[in-house]
Amino acid sequence: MATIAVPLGGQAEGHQADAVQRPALSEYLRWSVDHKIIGVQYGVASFLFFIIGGAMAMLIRLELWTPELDVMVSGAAYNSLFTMHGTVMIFLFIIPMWAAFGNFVVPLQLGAKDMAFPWLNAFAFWLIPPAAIVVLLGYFVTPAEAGWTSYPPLSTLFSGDGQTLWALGAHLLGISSIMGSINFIVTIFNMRPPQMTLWRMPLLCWAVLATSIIAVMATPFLAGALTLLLLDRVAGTTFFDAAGGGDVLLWQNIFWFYSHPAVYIMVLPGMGVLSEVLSVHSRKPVFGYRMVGLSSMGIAFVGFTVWAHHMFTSLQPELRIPFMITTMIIAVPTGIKMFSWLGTIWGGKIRFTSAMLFALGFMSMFVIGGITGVMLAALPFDIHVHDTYFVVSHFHFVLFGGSVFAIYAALYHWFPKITGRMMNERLGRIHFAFTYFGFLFTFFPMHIVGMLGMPRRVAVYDEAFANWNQLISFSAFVLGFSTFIVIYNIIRSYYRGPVAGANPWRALTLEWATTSPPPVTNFADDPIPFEDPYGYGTEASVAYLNAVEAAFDGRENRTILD
Amino acid sequence: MAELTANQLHAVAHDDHGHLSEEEKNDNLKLGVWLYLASEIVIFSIMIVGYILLRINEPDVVAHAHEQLGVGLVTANTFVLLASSYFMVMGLRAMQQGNRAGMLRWIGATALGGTVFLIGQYIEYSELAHLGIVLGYSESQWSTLGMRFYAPTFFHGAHVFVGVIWALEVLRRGAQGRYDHNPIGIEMFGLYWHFVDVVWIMLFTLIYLV
Amino acid sequence: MEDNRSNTPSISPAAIVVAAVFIVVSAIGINWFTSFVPVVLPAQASAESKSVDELFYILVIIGGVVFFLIQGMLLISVIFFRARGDDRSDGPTYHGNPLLELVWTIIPSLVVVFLAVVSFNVWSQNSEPKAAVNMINGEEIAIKVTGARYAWTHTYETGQLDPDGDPIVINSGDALHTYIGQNVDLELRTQDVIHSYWVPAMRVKQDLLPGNPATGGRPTEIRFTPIRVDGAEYPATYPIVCAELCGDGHGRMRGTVVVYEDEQQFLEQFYDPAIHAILNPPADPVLRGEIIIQEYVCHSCHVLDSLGWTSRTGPSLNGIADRAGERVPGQSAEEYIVTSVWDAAAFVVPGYTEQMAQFGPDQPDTYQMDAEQLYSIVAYLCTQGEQSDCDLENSTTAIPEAIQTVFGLEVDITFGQGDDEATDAEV
Repeated sequence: MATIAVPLGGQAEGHQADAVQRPALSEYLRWSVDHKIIGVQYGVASFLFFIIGGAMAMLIRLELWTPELDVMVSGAAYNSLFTMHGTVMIFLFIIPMWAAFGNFVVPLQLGAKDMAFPWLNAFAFWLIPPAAIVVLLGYFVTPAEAGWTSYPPLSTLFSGDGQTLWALGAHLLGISSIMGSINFIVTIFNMRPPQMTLWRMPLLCWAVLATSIIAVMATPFLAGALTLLLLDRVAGTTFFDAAGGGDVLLWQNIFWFYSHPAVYIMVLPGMGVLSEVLSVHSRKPVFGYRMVGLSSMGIAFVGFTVWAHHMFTSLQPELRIPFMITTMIIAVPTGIKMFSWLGTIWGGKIRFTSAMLFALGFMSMFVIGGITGVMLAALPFDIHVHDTYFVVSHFHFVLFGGSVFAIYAALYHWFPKITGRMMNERLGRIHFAFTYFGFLFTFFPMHIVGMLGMPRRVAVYDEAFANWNQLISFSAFVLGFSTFIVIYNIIRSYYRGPVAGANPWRALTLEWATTSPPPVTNFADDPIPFEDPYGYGTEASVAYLNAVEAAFDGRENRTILD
Repeated sequence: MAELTANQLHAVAHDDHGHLSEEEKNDNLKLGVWLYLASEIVIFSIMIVGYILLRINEPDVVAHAHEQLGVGLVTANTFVLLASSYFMVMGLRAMQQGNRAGMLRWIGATALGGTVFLIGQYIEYSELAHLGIVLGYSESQWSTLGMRFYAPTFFHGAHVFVGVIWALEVLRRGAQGRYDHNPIGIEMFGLYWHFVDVVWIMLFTLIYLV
Repeated sequence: MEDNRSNTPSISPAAIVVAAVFIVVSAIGINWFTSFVPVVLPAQASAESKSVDELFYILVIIGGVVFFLIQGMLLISVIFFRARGDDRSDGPTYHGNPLLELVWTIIPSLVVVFLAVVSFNVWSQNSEPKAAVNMINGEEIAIKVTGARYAWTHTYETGQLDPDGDPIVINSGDALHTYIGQNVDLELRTQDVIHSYWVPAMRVKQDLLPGNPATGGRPTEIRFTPIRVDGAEYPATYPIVCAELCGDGHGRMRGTVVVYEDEQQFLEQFYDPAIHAILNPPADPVLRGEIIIQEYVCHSCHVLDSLGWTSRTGPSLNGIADRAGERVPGQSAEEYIVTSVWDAAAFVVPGYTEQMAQFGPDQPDTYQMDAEQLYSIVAYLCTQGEQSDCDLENSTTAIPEAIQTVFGLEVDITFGQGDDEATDAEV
């Protein structure tokens, strides 16, 4: 039997059973260059934006309860509502939320002491609050009401000053995202300890790497497009105004050249989380580790070639076919991931923790988004459902059924590491039930109203869809309610949750080989990763995990099954 | 599983926890600057493509502009910028040879080159304004050219401006002796400055020559 | 790896039973789901809709197989592979199976190729240009659609001339009239932002793109051929919807496709009466105004009970004549309405934003309005109220004077009057 050298955590000795050493709350309100503090700052800030964006969604559903305009004072007010909902959810919730988990977890998983550029890391985060204020300030002038896609000329010649603020804010957020991503790439390439080879890297790191490469290459397209939009709005240029020699489709091309890859910016980290959670909680290695890692790269690459499927009804007809084909191709690497996850849990010893439930929920819901994605790629059918509720449904299955379920899985999975305390599993299960069914019944019927003829982004609609919309709105309120459960759970667990110990899930990746929460320098030295980040089931792995436990907790480890 | 020992555990021990060796920091910074420049390329290419589309769609406008505008000033300006890149290389080499005074002179010359370039660009802009080529939409025959010309060149000029400021900061730090042992700061500035130079060569070729 | 072979889960008979049951259930489920196809899609009212729906059917079947396969495997995993009781052991160390990975790379690739081929076929079939489009009375005519915030305007360029030698153009407002078997080919133009012309029952959609007016705009094209829908009563109507966000009234930007049973019915019920009405306008400016105002996009933003308009984007026109005299000091009721139609920005009613389009003789397409049309519209609006501020007794002089005062234009009020008797006799 091999002897195991355990990577040392910071304060292994002097550890008290019922106390958790963690930063004072005031630390989180200050400028800090510690990646763990920044991770939590990102997380809390984006969760606040999730609540704001969610409240907007509730108002949207309230308005759509009846076919007439009754809650909102005008159609324009409704337009600004879903514009802000989209902007907040995408730019202020999902993208920074992945920066939160990436920041907290990736350096730990790599065995690094911090990100490559701690100062830049903090700066990227602190760009977000002012950017958010700039975007939301629009409400005090004429709010942006051209949708988050902001198509000119609606967003240039026919919108008020809020649109300028929107573009400025989005610009800042793009810069923040580029800086964060450069940091991730450099960290992942350069900050790994010697034993952490690329092929030993946990899959979350692979996913964050792929995501960051996309963000660095794609976000500048958004920056460029927004620059031109701002020039059109304030400097009198006519890049997007046909009357002055411009072209409205130029915006759509550049915008979607960013925004389609941006979908993968929002989903790939979730896929990385899924690989972690499924493997740990079913006690079985990730099936086809290399293919899962490489498929992230494949998705990232193909993701750059599909943008014009968002323009199927505006693009010249002869250019549509190539984009149909590339879009369908992207289903293949996505399918590889899906089957590999199934292969991962198949035959495992599944623990139904809340994290696992949300991971399974992701698979169950994301597959619907994937199927409708292929349906939407099929050009003739897309022509019918383009810009309808079918599309709204599709991208919510991808971004809520995908990203948000993964965010919740990540939250339940890493909360013990972040705070040192466990979340309440019973509340977690209730939260899952409300989220899963609320989500399913909110978004599945949207496919049908879309196909029947309800376009998206309308405050008033044909009375024929009234019953469907009431079902959707009711389910949306259930879904909205589910958020309160998790908020309560987070606050309660932060103070009163059971002490987690270093490695409550008995996971093999390095973030669990230090105290919870980790000390400022993460590890006493360069830690040595276990030979296989997902090598569950071997005697060596059991010995390793026992050694980790002995080193940090000095007692039987507590898991949720206790 | 291989037997791991305490020695292996401390394979790469650091003097102070949480801090990187100079070499690691240099590698990080260089990779970071490269990635940053990669993202800059994208923004420039959007504007360049905008100009190329204009050339393809409205060759008359561009031909007309070429007829009326000399390339004398801008050629001189290009030369100044290229020379400043050379000064930049010499500055870095001087510092690597431990010649701080030489570095300060060369980088000073770089900053000067950038400033001269900006002055040249200002003069060119005012000449163009007299011809009626302006950024915003106008009724003149130039209206489609203006924005597509000014956007990339002004954006580039802004980068030169930032570069000049950066050069001054390098001079300040250099004078304090901060690069005596590790000229990474000069190297990073050099990468940026060469990038700005390369972009200009592309713009110059596309806008003035072709 | 070798050591762990014994840990690999062997497939228990129970799992096989569950799998078998599941396959049966899924087959029934897919069959059941596809039976909903007619329910979840609108009526198949065009030749295109048939092939699009067949494609949808194929997509649903393949998607259904994938859906049930993955949900089924999830379900089986959840049931059979859960850690029971206090089982704290790990699963088998099974890292993957290259053959299996190859299989689930290749099979989806093949499926994708198949779907691409099928979609391509449907697409080429549907987008193939048709001969003999917009046939009316044996001739091809141009049917144009203009999208302007927030209404569709359909115009038929009949190719006929009126007695003055001007071309007769039928403006059917937000309704497109067609008949079964007509190869419809519409030229779409937008007057402001991007709109999207969608007829769900026809399964067609096309964006309207702003172009440079100086070079003729940027027209796009949409084609479909109405077919008979079993059980429908003709003329049948289907909604037209704007599918691209265009602003405040986007949701109200709707229209109607009226499909007649055959060309005969189309001519009798729509085309011929429309031409007749153009040739024989009513002499009464109020009646004329009532027709003309409905050809413009006014209905997309204003409430007007007498015409059934409901949109609240702009101020209500109910009783407008009662208020018109008091709105702007120094302006008579006629002058105020005249100003408001052509130059709405001159006075914005409190509580509303300045967003109404400019109308006038020099405005493009659907915003073009000459002084005579303005005269008729104002005459009509002057009747909207109980105690009109307008000088109704002398409207034939008061309104032209107002137009003269505000815009300096002469109005030829004799327009249409010569046809008085003919109108009375024939209508």
